[in-house]
Amino acid sequence: MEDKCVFIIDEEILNKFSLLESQGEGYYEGENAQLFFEYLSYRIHNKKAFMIPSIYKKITSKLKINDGESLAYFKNWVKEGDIGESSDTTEEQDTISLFETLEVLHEKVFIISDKYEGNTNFRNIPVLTMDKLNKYLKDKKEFMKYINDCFYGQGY
Amino acid sequence: MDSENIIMETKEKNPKVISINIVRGSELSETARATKGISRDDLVEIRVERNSPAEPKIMKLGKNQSPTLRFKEALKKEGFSGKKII
Repeated sequence: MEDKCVFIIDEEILNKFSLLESQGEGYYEGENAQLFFEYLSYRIHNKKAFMIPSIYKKITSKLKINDGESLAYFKNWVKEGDIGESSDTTEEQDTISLFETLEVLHEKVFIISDKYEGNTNFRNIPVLTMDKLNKYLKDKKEFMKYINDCFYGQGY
Repeated sequence: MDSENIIMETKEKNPKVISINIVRGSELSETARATKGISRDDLVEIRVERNSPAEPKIMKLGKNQSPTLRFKEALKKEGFSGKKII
């Protein structure tokens, strides 16, 4: 049965996804990022991850070029967290605010980032680094069967 | 060719994608599923483009058409592939 958790992501996962094509050092983490976006598509509930407004705006303004296809895909998976905007707060503070807001509304909230590992302000917040995310997704047997069928098996 | 025609031609060559929504077939109406031959488990892309007919394009995603592969292709086409976005 699908859990109904939600995710907060930052620019790292998207950057890692875009490095997938490079076939270099970032390939493994790029695959992790790809698996995460596939997981969001596969889900029935909470198909979009949240992002703090400052990062969301930076990314959408960058992707707003040509025919807008990559921006439209991005918006399919990611939505701007509704925490208002303040020039006085840091990215870290905004992330914690978004977490606290979503925690009231959802049964479980994960932050996906390598930025906050070991940060004592995140001691009581579930943070998935890219490595932990990989394990989290690969432990989902039905999802991994679906991925195997899609990418390596009979197809869907 | 006057300027209005030139603008029209440019828009047709570069349709602006307004939105993309990837959903399960089960989220579509029964009529839409029946019309497009989509099962409840199929993954479907609903795409709305500017300058296209009002009806959105509904496409079943088959083998080698996973949403992330399509996203990867879009990033590549727009020059972001292999580099950080921000």
